Amino acid sequence: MDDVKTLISLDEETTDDDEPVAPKVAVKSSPPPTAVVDILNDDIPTPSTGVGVGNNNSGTLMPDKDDDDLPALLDHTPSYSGNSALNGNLPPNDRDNAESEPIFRVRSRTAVASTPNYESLDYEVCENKLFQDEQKKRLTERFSLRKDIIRWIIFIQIGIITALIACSIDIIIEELSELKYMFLMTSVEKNVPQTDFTGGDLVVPFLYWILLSVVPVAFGAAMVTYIEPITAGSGIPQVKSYLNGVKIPRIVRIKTLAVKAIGVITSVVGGLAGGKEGPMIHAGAVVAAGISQGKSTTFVKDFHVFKAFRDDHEKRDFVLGGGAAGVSAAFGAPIGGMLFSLEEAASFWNQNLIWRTLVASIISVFTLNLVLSTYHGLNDFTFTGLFNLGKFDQPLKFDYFELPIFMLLGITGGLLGAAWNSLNTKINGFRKRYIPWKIGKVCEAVVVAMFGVTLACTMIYFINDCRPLGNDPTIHPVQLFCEDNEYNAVAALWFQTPEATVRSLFHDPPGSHKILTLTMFTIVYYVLSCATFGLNVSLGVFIPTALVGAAWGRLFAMVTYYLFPETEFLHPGKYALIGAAANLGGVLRMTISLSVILMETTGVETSFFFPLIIALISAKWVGDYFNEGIYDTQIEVNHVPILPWEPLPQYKGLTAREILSSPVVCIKLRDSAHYIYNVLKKCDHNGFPVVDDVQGVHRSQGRVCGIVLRSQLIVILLKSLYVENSRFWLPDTSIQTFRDVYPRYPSIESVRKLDDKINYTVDLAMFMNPSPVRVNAHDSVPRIFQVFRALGLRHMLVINNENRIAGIITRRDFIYK
Amino acid sequence: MSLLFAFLLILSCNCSLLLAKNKSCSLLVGELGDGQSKFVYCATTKSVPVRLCIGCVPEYRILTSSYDALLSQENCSKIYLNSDRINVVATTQGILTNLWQKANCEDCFNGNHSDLYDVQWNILNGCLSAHKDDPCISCKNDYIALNQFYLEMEKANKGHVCFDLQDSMNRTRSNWSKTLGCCHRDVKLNTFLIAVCVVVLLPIVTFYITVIVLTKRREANHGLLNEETPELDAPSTSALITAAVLSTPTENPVVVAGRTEKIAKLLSGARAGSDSDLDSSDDEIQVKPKTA
Repeated sequence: MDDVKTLISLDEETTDDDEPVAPKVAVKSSPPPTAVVDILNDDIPTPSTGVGVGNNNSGTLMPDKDDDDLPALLDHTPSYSGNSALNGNLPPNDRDNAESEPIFRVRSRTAVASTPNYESLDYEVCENKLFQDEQKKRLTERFSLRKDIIRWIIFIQIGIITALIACSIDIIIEELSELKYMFLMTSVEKNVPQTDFTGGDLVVPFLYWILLSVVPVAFGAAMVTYIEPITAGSGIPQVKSYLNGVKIPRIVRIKTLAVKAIGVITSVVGGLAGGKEGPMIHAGAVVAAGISQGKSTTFVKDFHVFKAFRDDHEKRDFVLGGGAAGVSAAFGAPIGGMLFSLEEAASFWNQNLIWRTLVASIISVFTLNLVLSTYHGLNDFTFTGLFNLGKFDQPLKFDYFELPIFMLLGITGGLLGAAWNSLNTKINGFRKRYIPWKIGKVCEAVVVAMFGVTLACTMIYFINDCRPLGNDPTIHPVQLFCEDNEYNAVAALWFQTPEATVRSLFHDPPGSHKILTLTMFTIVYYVLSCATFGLNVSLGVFIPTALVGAAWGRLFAMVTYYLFPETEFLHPGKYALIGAAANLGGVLRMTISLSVILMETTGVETSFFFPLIIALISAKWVGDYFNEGIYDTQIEVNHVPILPWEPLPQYKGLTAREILSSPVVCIKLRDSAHYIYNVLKKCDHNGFPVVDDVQGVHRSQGRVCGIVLRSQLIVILLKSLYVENSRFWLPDTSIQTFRDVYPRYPSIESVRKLDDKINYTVDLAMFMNPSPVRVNAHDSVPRIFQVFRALGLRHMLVINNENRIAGIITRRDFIYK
Repeated sequence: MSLLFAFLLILSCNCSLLLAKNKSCSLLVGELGDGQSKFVYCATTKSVPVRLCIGCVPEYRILTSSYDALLSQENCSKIYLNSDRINVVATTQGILTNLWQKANCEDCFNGNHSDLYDVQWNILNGCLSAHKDDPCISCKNDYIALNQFYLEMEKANKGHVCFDLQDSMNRTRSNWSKTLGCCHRDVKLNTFLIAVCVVVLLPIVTFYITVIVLTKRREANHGLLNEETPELDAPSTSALITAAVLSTPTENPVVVAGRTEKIAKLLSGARAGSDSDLDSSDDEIQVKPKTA
């Protein structure tokens, strides 16, 4: 006991210094790792525990192993292999074992501190005996297709409900924006100063505009910041990480959905430079995750349906379908939506899933059309989508000599996109460092909104771009300083939602704007969208990006026409479309889904696919030379341990031995309940290898026979599923017992302290997964990476030639730091 | 014999009827063509300023009635409509009707819009010709009244105003503001600029300066750590990690001390637990042979 005290007090100095440094997650249970290790070594042979504190991931110790340079790794290896050689002969001293691992450095603070507490999802289906029993029971049932049919029904429901949510968001935004901009227009008209001093002052509409922007934005930002911070941003990076297998806390809760919907409405109505497509994808994901579970933990309501789908693996597939339905609903583009989720979001994919996703998308678009057509008073279902970019009246044609021009535009898009990404990352870096306070985040959103309004208003007031009425399809013309019978083209650009602006850039007849207007608009919107993305509001990046691209594409056509008035091919709408595609390609770095979405939303011919792809691909190539797409950048900046498609180059040529974590906290096939309870209390790993043939207390050298998950152990302790009282629980226990608590597993704190006197035994044979993925210590890292990635594993056991546990590999071991 | 005569009579009658019908078909088409040409002439001559709707309404009525007449004869419509690929009659008729509809002409005659408009317009024009020296002041009320009437009409029709009136109004407006120079809109933005400075720039600058000063202060406490960036980290992330580390809010030392205390307690508890566990493990070993 005194020992402990001194250790702690020794550490206190460091702790004091460190305290401001490490974020709460890591701090909450830590004196620095070393201390814990020494204490714990007595009973559990695991130096890993201490690190596990900061790194919830699973298995054993980790992060600074990767921090270590290669020599250190190699240094460490012999000591390990020496141990394994001894295995079975004479049990090595635990102490020695621990001391021979030069793992803990003070620097691990940084790594732990910078990494939020991400956990993996269990995509691996735990095929334990209970699961197999259930499968067998299913086979004997007459109607064994039931699960598949239910799955289709769920996908259809996902489509419908996602579309309904998208509709309501869209209609509310539309109506509120209409009200807002009508009010501002009349206010401008009333307050134009006259030479005979009868008019008002133009500061009045400006102040109204500020007010009408700041209030909704402040409301939305406050909601996002204080109620559900996960809803900030577009939601696509979060959904992507989730689908990759990273547990993002609270990402698919109903509260998140509500905050996201209100957040996106307020920020679009507030006039921030953003769109609603990203949030809709997130909304679709939440809907999917919610429906497929047949219960709501938030409302403590279990409908007792769809119980078979209560695990991470099934949920992942549904979430993917929900995301696709969300994109489809946002753009009115079913195939584009499906491809979007394939290209951007999905990390795991199979053929059945494509079908289901497509069905969800198409149902979603159909529902959307149905509702919106009814709402707009149309009898046929022709109102396509929320972000219909407007159908081009004439078929877009192109000449062959235009292809190099398209490529040039693509390259410009790539450069601008890469610059945008890097600027945005810098701005967000600034935010992260300088504005950590919640109130500061809300204030910043307000400040950016005010900034945007001011720029827009200044442009409207100072650029005198007057166009005669009646030639252009401007719905609400503002006269401002123009002569009677004219309207202000700048005001026409700003006094509408960003989607409507994209539409007018695509479809306004040539000569609707001055070159100066469009140049200023492009610059202002570029900067504004860059400053907006990353604010603590829920907004997507798709529409502003498309808008900037459309603006400079159109500008290009206008400037060229101004220089060479005899050219005939310069259809400004066409170049606006190509510009939008190039800019989107430069920022998002997607190709197929973007071109399909643009095609589906503008109704251009299939022959125009080629120019679009040329622009997109060249933008992507040029952009990839400089940096990654904005979503991947966001993921990287937030240190989400996402698995890339390929192993990192640093891992080429290594073997499993060099990246594994050891020794591993193991549990014997028949182990005492006390031991399990203590292990769960002390380490927050998620998976524990089950071993037998243990020499003495050295479980970490046992022979592997399976793996058991933390959640299962907790359920076992909670329900007292011990060997000694098996006759009471054995008949009633099925796989459902374990599914019922999904997805919010109780923590070990909820387990009553075990009675010291009674020594219960737990037999894991029935509960453990008897077929964990095992690799040999000699296997090459790229190879095991592919196994790990393809199967969506959470833990991978490394064994030696005698099938004894040598270490464990988790997601974090593949992330190079 | 009489039967035969009767038969012949019927036959001839039929023939003549057929002939008459044929003849009337070509006659009807002739009338239609005549009506079309008159309408086209009228529309073209009255194109600037546009008096299409009001000026050509008789021609248009004749045109439509003769087309209807042609259609009502089943034989004729069979001959002239859907006869071939070009379908001349229907196409020309379609073009002319389309012109009429595109100009929203029917609206001129709904609710007497054009007459009411003309009354106002005449007042203004009378005023303008009466006061050649200072039209802006004397006729302002008339102009505003006309403009107001037009705007209301536009609002009531949801923008689909008869094109005659649209054109006339456009001309009146541009005459008023450009030729006569009576539109006095003043670019007076001083208040706006002051407002921008006070309401927007000031808060923005204050906000960012405050934020930077606060952060610098907070970071001043551990400048030492600031320099100690981990070397082995990938260069791109190291800056971000530093930023993340530094952005963590400071904590009250009391809280920290409390927490440390708690951890110590927890650990001592753990130790106690582990001791017992060690025992139990030993037990296990003894039991083991039995279970295995």
